[in-house]
Amino acid sequence: MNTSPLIEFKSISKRFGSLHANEQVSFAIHQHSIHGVIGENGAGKSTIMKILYGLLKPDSGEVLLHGHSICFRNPHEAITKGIGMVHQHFMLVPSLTVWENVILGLEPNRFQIDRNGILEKLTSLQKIYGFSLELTARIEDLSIGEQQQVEILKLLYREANILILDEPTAVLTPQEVTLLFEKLKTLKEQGKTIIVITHKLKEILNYTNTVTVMRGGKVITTQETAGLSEGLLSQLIMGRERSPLPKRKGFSEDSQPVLQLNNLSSSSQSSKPLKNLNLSLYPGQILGIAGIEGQGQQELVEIICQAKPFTGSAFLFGIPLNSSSAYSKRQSGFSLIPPDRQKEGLVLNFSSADNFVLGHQREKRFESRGFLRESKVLSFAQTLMNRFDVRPAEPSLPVKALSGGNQQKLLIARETSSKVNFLLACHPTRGVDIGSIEFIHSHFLKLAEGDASILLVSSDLDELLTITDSIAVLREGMIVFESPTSQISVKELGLWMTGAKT
Amino acid sequence: MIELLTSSLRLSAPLIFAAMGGLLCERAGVATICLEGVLLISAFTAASVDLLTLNPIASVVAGMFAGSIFMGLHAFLTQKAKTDHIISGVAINILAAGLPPLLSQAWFGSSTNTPSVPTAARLSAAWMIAISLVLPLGIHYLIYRTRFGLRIRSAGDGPEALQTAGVSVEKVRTLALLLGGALTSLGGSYLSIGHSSQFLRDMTAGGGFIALAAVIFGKWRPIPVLFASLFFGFTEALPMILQGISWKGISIPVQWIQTLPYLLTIGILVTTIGSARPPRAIGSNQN
Repeated sequence: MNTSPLIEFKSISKRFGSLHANEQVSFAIHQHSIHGVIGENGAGKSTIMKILYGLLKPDSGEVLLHGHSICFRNPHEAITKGIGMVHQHFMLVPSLTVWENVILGLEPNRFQIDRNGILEKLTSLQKIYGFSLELTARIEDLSIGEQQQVEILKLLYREANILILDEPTAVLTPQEVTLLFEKLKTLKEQGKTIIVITHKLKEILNYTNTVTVMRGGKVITTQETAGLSEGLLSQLIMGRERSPLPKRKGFSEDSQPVLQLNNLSSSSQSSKPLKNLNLSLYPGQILGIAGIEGQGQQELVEIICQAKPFTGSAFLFGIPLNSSSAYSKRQSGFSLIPPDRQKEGLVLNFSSADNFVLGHQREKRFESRGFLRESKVLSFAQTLMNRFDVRPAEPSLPVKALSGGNQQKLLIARETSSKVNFLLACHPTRGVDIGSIEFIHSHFLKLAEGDASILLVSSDLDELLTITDSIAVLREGMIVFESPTSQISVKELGLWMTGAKT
Repeated sequence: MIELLTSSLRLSAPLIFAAMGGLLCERAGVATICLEGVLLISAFTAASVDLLTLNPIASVVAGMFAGSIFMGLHAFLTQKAKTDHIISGVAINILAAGLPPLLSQAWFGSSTNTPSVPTAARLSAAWMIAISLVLPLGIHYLIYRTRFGLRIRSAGDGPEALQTAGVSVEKVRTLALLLGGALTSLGGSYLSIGHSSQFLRDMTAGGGFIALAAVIFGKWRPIPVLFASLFFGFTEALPMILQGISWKGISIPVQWIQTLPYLLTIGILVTTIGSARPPRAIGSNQN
């Protein structure tokens, strides 16, 4: 490795009001490496990268690039110096084609666009870096993983040498994650320097050369990844050891199942119809639904919570699924953590307090003669936000101002704040940092302890193996395998999911 | 039959101009219910300048200038002052409806109409119709083949992406509005000094709104919008041909026939609106 660093942060401090987002942050990034920046939500990872990229100005300290002090006033100055950033939320025009998105803002022609010339240029660019995107496809027809590749191609077209990726895997499936890091490795071999902001330990350990751990706005350490273990890294990130999860007490199959599906099949048009599903979920049981994404999970969730048309029989709390309204299901203790929290779980423009009342607005503790009791709502929200460690714990702030992880905690807080008998949880820890994951998992276990049943739909195998009692693997709309968790290995699970084992 | 065809084209021309102008603005992400106002103000300006100069070309240019100023006002209100697009549009429509009668009273002594321009100073309707039929091709080229077009489409469908790519969304939208205003004004000028020979109060009779309907009906794409405008022109021509027609010995009241274009418009929009997808960021303000 080169001894003189490519980028050097020297005692950078940045404050937002009373909050120290960065405090005396110093570390170096070397050329031709994949450098990870890891830390919990609010550790200051994004802030320091935004300073590098010219989106924020430091209060003090300086950034050196090739040994020269730099201070970009905006991202365009950064990009002219070869620094590019892939944002967590993609900046693409959905109705335009791949090539149009790539050249947007830096078109080679002033008036008429030379389509063929551009396609030729981009094709050779794709060849160099091992991309195989269809350039004439529309963005809206691409998968999330492909859209991310378009973002990277955009930076390569602008001849960026330093690529910053802000939580690139938060929205990706495990398969796409592997693909992404293979791409990044190729890029590194071609001479690029890559900075990955993440809070996933595995990604740091498996793919990066060096890592900077941040906590509370400060750098805890910067070191080579080789030699780090998962336990050590998580200790560095949280500043404490992982607390052990509460023990499971188990469940009994003697009582009446909370959810029972017999020969359930989809009867509506769908890309992945369910076929003859049989499932029973007992009080106090946590049942995991494993599977590669898009194998019918969405369909299953929709049938359970919206009573989409189906054949076969399905009972929730002993009542046929399609004969009870959403309201009465809620009344009997049904809670839902939907797969897309921003679309189906929260109203982003509402305050946290208002989001807490959604679904509870008829309850006497919040409502009086048709009016919301605002002070009650606020104090309730405040209590819950403190308990679930939602930061910033400011109930009147709109939810869109919170980070993804904090939004998720807010949602889980709401859904589990009143009596839960059945919780349908879809990817509850996606995009959530490890401290919060620990919290959520132990919270779920406590719920199960109180005899709540949980149906956990997740593509995170570690999560499934950690907290479930049993796991069912969904593939092509069918349950191909079901077993108590204690008797399954990761490897076996992977084989069932991919269809290598049938 | 020929008569029906020519009067369809004659009535379509202002719709096409306004629809093309509106299409540009809407593709850039700005809702333009102010097309009606722009048509009116350009019709009045062209007529007034023509009376003064007796030069139809100069009058059209003046009309375009006036239309661009009004669209520029829309641009200022929506892009700089961040006003809601609909509110700004309504304000401009009200202003454009009130200003001509006032000025007309002051300049020509009548608030309902301007004097007629001499035949020699009138705009060639045939030429304007020809231009209206070719213009959509030009707009198609502009939107899909040029850098400006790419940026217009991005401003309407992904302004955040355009902004992060280093292009000012406000600037792109403002330029699109100015150009759209000028194109719409071709329609206004045609109405007062080409199709007719004077400006009459409220002579556009909702043409701007029908043009907007044509933009939606044509799904914001130039060639389909052209055909939508031609269709609406046809529905307007139909009552004139059908006037005095009787069915099984009963003469159909002329008022019934005159409601036909509006009924057809509503019918078509109701049956197609579900499948029309507007530019994603239309009506949104960049912050």
